[in-house]
Amino acid sequence: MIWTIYKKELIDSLRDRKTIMLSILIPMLFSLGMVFFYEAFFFNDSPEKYTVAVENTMDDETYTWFSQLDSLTVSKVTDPIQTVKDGEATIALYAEVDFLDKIEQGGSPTIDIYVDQFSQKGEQATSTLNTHLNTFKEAVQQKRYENFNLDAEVFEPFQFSINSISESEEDASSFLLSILAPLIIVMSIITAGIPTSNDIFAGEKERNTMEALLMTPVKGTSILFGKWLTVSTLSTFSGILATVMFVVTTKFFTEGLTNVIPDDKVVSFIGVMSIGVLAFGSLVSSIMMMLSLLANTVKEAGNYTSPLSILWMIPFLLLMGVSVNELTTTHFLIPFFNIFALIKQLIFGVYSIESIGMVVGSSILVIAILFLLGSFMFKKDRWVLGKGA
Amino acid sequence: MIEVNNVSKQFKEKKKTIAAVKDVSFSISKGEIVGLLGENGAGKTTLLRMISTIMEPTNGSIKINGIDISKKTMGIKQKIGVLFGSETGLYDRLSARENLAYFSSLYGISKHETNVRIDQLAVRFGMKDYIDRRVGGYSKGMRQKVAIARTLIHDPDIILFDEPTTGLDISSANMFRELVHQLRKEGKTIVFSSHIMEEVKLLCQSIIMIHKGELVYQGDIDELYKQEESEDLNYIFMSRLVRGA
Ligand SMILES: Nc1ncnc2c1ncn2[C@@H]1O[C@H](COP(=O)(O)OP(=O)(O)OP(=O)(O)O)[C@@H](O)[C@H]1O
Ligand SMILES: [Mg+2]
Repeated sequence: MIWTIYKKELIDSLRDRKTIMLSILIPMLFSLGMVFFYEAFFFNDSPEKYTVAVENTMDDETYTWFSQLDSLTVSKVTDPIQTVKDGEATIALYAEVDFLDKIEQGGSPTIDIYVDQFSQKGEQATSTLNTHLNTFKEAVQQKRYENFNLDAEVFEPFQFSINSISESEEDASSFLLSILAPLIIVMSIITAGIPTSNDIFAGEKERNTMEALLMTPVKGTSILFGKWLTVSTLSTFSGILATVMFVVTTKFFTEGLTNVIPDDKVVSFIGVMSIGVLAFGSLVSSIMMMLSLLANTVKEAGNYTSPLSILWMIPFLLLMGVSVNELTTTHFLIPFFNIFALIKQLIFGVYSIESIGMVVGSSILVIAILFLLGSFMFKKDRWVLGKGA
Repeated sequence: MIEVNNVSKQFKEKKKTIAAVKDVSFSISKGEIVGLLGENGAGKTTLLRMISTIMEPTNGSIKINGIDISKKTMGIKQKIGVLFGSETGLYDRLSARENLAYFSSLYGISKHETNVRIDQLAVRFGMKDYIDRRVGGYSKGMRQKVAIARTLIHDPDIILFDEPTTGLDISSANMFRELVHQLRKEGKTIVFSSHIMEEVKLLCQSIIMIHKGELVYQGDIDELYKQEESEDLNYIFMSRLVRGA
């Protein structure tokens, strides 16, 4: 009986264009779009060249020296500041005449740099220029100490360096994907189930088909289970599709992100993620089922279920700043938090049976409770019958 | 055989309690055709929902063939067919055949038997031309036929129709009346609700009148005519209501 109901509901909802749109098209477009968007913004940015506007009057020697610096293009203009204001350059640089020459002769010429402090690009450009100038400055200092036969260490009481634990490039990409992946996957899971779930309970009440269904000798719990299974299938399918699409787009269509999931991990990534998606999809479906049962019309059900498509952002945002090492058992035991925690671990290459076990276990517990509640509601005519004719 | 004993139904709406059916008792024997008469909000739908087992009475009991329906609901359901409204209970994205096959399998009827029955019903209601098209594109009359076919798919002994002709044009309403005559010949027990006197007069020997949830009259139409010394059901209805209130 459950199978009969399941099959019918699945056919019924797949014939609805809304379902196809939301469960197949959305995850595909979403993952493609997001991945390209991120790649374009974060990875093509770093090797970019910043334009430094200098005065026409700059001497050739100085000009040549600035020109050979990495990541910088120097262009001579009449009014450097105006050029930056016009957006033609990122930095305006005014150097004293014969800047290099003066240094050579032991002088201390000045450079004035102007930049838009509120521009991210300007900040990156100054930091690049700053590094170049500091390196040069240190080299000159070194040389001058030597000329005077001085020990450079005397003038440098201590040295320090700040190093990142992450393997720079690699981990930046992982961090990026750990933000992207949950957006794509969780969003797909939630949006895919909503129209069907609204239709399958509240819609049946509204169209008075529920009465006909309840008239059959099928147990209420079987009807409930068959319908829930349909919503779960769509949510899970959409989530797995999003996962596969996500992996495919990052692996084949990006340069900066492709190494985050190593080739030999692709299968286990999709596999473990699918288990998580199944657990989360089933959980979300049972929540949507309850909300739809409370409503008398599809519209009313929509009012209850649509907040769900925003509320999931809260655990997502709360977990965004938590690093993989900081994830605790609690994160994996609280539904909604745990799917984000799991995705984060997978992106950073942590494959833990315990984590997936906790995600599945806690989801099953909540699903079971909601099911008990649901079948109780399903026995009460107040919840299953519409207002009637 | 349907026995309704002291049945009441109350709905709790926020702070108000609505008494939709108040202490109603009557019985309907096998093969009888009974019209359930009442104004809007009288409690007809509520009463039929309770008889069809999908709604539990607040008080009282209902027996079908001597069995309390609150206890053996599953077996009882095989014996009852219900149609609420004139064309409800259909899935628009399924074809008529798929709709019928779905309900048939929910009643536990085998695939082969289902096909035989659908073909019979298709002939009986002249649905052959459109049975494989999706219901969403049907006219009201076409939908009505499919809805009735769905009600009859498991060959029930007792058939309940709630306002079956409301919203239908004359030919569809006539088709329904013709069907009731056929079903009477097959020995089915039929209860149908209506607020149209003429319809009731055309179709049945026996009526049940309710008003604001209370039973006003049960019995033979002719008997009522005699008591009231009038054949105008409308007049009788109104005068009974005045006295009953
Ligand atoms: N599910 C429900 N919840 C609350 N009140 C209800 C419910 N169903 C019916 N009622 C109320 O019970 C009363 C009887 O309603 P019912 O639908 O049985 O009347 P009816 O005779 O079928 O009327 P109509 O001719 O309009 O179909 C009405 O006042 C109605 O508002
Ligand atoms: Mg009614």
